[in-house]
Amino acid sequence: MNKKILSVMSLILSFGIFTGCTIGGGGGEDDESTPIIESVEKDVMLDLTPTVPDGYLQLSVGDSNGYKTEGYGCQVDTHIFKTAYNNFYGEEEMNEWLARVDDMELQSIRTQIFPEWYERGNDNGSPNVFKKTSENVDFNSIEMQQLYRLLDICEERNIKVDLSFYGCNRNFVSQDGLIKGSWLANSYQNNWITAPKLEDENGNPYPGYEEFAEAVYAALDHLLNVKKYTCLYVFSIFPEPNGSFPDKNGYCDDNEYFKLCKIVKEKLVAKNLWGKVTMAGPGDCANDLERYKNYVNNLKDVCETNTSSVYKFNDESTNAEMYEYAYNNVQACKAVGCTWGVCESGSNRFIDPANQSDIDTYNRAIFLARTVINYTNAGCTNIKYWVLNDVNYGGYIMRLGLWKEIGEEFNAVARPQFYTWSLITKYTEFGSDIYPVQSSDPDVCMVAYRLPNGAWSYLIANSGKSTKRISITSLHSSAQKVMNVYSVSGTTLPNNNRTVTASTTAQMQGGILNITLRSNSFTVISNK
Amino acid sequence: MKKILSLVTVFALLFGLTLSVFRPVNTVRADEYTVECSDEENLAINKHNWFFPTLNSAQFTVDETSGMKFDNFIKDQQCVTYFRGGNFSEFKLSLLVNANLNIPEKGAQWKYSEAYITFLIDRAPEDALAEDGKPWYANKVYGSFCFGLTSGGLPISRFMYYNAFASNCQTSGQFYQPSGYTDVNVVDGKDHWIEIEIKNYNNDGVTGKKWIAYIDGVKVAEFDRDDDYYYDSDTAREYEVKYSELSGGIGIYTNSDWPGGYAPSRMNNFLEVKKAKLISYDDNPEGEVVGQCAAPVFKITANEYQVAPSYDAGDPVEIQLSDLFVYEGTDEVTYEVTCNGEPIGEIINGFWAWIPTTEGSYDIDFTATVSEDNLAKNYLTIRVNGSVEPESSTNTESNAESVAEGCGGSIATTFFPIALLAGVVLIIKRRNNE
Repeated sequence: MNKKILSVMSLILSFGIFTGCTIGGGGGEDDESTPIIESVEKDVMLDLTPTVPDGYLQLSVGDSNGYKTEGYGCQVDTHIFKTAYNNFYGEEEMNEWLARVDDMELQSIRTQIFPEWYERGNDNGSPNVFKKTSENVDFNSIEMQQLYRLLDICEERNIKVDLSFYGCNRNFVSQDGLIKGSWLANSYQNNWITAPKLEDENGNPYPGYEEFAEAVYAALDHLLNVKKYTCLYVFSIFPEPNGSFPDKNGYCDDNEYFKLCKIVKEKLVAKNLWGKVTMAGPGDCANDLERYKNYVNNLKDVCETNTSSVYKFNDESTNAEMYEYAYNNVQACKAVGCTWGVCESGSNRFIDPANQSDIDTYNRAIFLARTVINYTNAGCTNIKYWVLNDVNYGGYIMRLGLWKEIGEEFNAVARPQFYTWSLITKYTEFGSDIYPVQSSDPDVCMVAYRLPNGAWSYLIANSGKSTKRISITSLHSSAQKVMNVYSVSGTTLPNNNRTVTASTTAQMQGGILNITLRSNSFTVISNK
Repeated sequence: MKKILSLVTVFALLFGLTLSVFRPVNTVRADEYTVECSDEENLAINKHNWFFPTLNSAQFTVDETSGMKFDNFIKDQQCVTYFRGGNFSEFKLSLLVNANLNIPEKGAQWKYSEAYITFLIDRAPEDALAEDGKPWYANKVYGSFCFGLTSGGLPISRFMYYNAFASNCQTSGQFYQPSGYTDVNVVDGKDHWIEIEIKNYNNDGVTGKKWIAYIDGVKVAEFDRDDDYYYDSDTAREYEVKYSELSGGIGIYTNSDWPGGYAPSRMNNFLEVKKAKLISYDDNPEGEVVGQCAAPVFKITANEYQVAPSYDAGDPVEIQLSDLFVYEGTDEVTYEVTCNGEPIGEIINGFWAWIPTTEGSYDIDFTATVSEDNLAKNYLTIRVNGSVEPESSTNTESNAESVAEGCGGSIATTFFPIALLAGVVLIIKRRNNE
């Protein structure tokens, strides 16, 4: 938008505000990304009595629930760089990949790492002294170089990273062809990752937990103190421990998992690394409340934030169901002084591990937006979607991405869910205050955020079959602004592989903003 | 996700790595043997006989002239299919194959390229997927016959057995070769008939199943599986297995450790199955040829759909057409939406979109057509409250701007495409019975 037009628009806008009218200034080629608020504005509660028109659903933005967001993002693994998996990203494809990441303003990722990537054999016989010069230690392995490449991308973009130590990779084959198998995995054969071994080849006791803890320390020390990455904000170990922590007999013993977590903490405390990066866990996928309480209670002195893998719902799930599930988890975590987040998520419509039947549907796109709204209303502070894009995970194509595979057949086409998820990542921000919003209409849900710069963003979903007229009421002085409206509905879904741009503007004025939501739609209103 | 992934993430190496010691090898000439297999009997030239894989980039194709082809299977990416025609207890499967299998000279750890016929797969036909043809996918496979080039590029022609009774086909698969048999090389540029025959036996009261494999009519492997108790070391328990009572599906997969990065043409590593004939002995001791599978027919049907109680004039009505109909096929579906026989609204992104402007009750007819004899209708009555003047709109695309007008309010809404609106104005007719 050129300066001349901007000047005219500014004039009209000023006049409009002065006279109490809403003048839309949305659209155009770049105005949707123009921050309207550039410095943090003091927020006070106004003495107003908004009048909600007849037939409008009031959605009131009251007080914050006291939680701040800790990122909305996706799983991104270094597989994208593994040509051995037939993932060929040429320069042009990588640029497009980065352009999408930039466009959606991805806030956070989780990425996997294994001790075998850098400690390819045991460094020495002692878990107390890490021998970095050991011939078994290689922080320049191909696997680590690929990790650095991903972390460099995150560092440049201030994308927060959950470095997830998935476990002992029994099936590890190094990309240089020199290493096969894991020195640290136990003898259980029916899972690709196992808990650390607790006995050696001769059946003698083996300090596997201590060795694993040492490996975690070694990686964090290298990444934080040598490579100087600041994008690492969380690390986790053995996510989904109810399935990823099999002992030699295949049994996942939660008490053993707790023991390992505590040993890892002790190691990091002893090495002065504790507190440099937050430990998250357990990322369980059992989705059983009682078992979850057992996790958080036993990890209360270890994990500083709690997480879950959630594949529990689908587009037919109600807002109330999703809220209740999240609320119970949040309360369980709150009881031990932790926040709750979702370290990976999707729907429960699995065909197989890499495919879900609703993956290409518009309903899924709306469903994912509803999960964010309902979980956040319940106090959830961070959510990552599994997975950013379709990619070969070695033996199978992971087809749960926000966009499809590169290449001629699928051409990296964005799925409907890209357009809703990217609105969430783009118009919220890490560290935003969460303002839950209650709705008396079961089809409509909304959550509000006050961003660190004082701007406001509202996420609103209407899963009903008819349009809904809503009145967003807010007495917050800083919310009385002209805002951009970004809307996704079935008939307006773009196909340009870029985030949705503003369709119009709306103004919170006199404590009220009225707007119409299309049926089965997702709307973001923001002055970010 | 990791837990779920672990169900399928296993190393094909476990199945590809077998014997690296030198073994004597037989070569059988293909032109000395043939199996009568008419086009009507040839299961290899009908795509409806086979499930197609979905999980990776290996390529499985079925050509109605040349038959089945397994291509671009590389390390960790097997090419697999599964016969749709049912489960079998006693049968003989004859395949005419061109095993154009190649091993990489560089970059591969073990250098193998193999094909497997899997059988006695304990999966209900209606639940089966192509991937069920791989033992470790669902752990339902009791046996396989392996041919091609195993570790080190050595020929192989052996049976392999799995502990599917313990839901464990990952590490318990074992090659079996009794004395007196040697591995046969079928990777010689010639077509070969590869046959497996699975039949029950009763030897003085000892019952079970005998597996026999032939290459070009010569017996190359056999294996007896008695009805007995079998121990599975992973689950650490014993299972009673009555092989003679087992019945299951049939799959084929190919497996190599070519590293990624090579074009299929460069690898020149593929398996062609030009003919496939299956004889079942389940209902007739003399055997009956198993016929072709019919093309699956997916009828489109109307789906019960509850509209909103009413809509306000001027508000967009958007209904996802896939919500109105149920169709599991892959053929294109076309839709027609009418009111009193006249087209109404517009179809955008699979949604029917309409902006009513006049109060009333509208009976909308939706017709979804797959083909002339496969269509369905759905009928919705949409009640519209109030009336509005048709508005002009500046919004023609989802991301275009629109400008709310007027004073005294703070409403800014989005608008439907002007073309849609214009169309609506032209075609809407209120029904007489509203």
